[in-house]
Amino acid sequence: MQTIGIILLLISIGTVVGPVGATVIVYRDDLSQLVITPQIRDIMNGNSNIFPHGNNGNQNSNGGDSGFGGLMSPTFVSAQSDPSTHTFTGIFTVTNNFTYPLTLNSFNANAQITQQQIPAGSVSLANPVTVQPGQTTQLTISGQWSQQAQDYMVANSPSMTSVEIYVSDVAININGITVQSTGTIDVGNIPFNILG
Amino acid sequence: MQNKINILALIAGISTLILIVISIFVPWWQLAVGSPSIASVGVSPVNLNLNLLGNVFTIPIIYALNIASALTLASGGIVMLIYSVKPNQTYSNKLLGFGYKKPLYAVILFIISMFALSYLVQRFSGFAFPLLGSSSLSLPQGIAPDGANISVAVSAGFGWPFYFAIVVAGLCVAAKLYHPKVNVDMALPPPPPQL
Repeated sequence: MQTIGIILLLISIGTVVGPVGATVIVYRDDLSQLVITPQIRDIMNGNSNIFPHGNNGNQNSNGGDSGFGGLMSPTFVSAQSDPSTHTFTGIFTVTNNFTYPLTLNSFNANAQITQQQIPAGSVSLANPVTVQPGQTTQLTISGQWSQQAQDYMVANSPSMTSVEIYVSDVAININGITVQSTGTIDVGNIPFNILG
Repeated sequence: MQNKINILALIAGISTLILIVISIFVPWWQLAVGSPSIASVGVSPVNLNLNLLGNVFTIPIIYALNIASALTLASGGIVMLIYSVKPNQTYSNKLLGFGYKKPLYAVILFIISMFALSYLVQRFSGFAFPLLGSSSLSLPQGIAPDGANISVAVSAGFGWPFYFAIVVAGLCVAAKLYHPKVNVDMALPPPPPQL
């Protein structure tokens, strides 16, 4: 009776002390690794391969990555326009630098002409796009330019062939993560012929 | 003395061992971040699955506690099985007292730790993640980049193994309550000597 009680007590202690003690002994040289593994430390120090660096997206006015929330890096490919309706469609390629599929669910922004901060219209993502790890996929962003932008281009078209555009009030949704930024993203020089 | 079987303890012991195996693969509680999910947390007393962008994280001290928990539950289950076939021995009460508490403690400690985790995360990081259901989690302004508001869709819920664990704990308690009935032979007075 007494023996059984002692055996059960030893089992109770051993089942807990055994694994915990063994782990402490394994990590005795650096006990902090019991909680903060090298993998987690790399993330905290910004050296992790999980979050790739050097996205080749444009830079925003604050000097940060302009990619879709820093998760994807877009590159302008081409655009088409319909002058009669003031609408345009832009084709971009996005590269997923992560090792995990990313889905761009939505993208909305207001475009402005950089030189005189003229509202140029709004842009949005036509359809959700899923980009596989390390892959590049095309996405379509469509929008409508404003009468003010049209007037600006008409007034300046003899002397200027392109216009510098930036977007603001950007709202991006990637994999359910919504980033709403009040900062600006430089799109670059858009040729006038694209905008009709 | 007739050797009876405590059938409830037998079922409880087997169920405890099954629960351990299930809990390794299916979490008791799961949190998914993003839609489609980019990170997930799966928790059970015997396993913690932290997944971020397809990368699985293992925290050694948690891993050790998971093994300790699995061994504790396994010892409880095995002792319950031994008790179930020897319910009226002098040491049976000790076996039962040891065995029936393990799943019960596992469920109670799991619930307490989940609420404690929720409270501590909210207290120290500002995130108020749901224990059950879906919500949009806003990052504190200190974490988000300049001028940006970042919100994340999260969903959480208890899995069926959690409810199964409650049933197993209930079976263990029932086995304990059933013990006096199985053990009634021992309580009977010896027959009078025949003259």
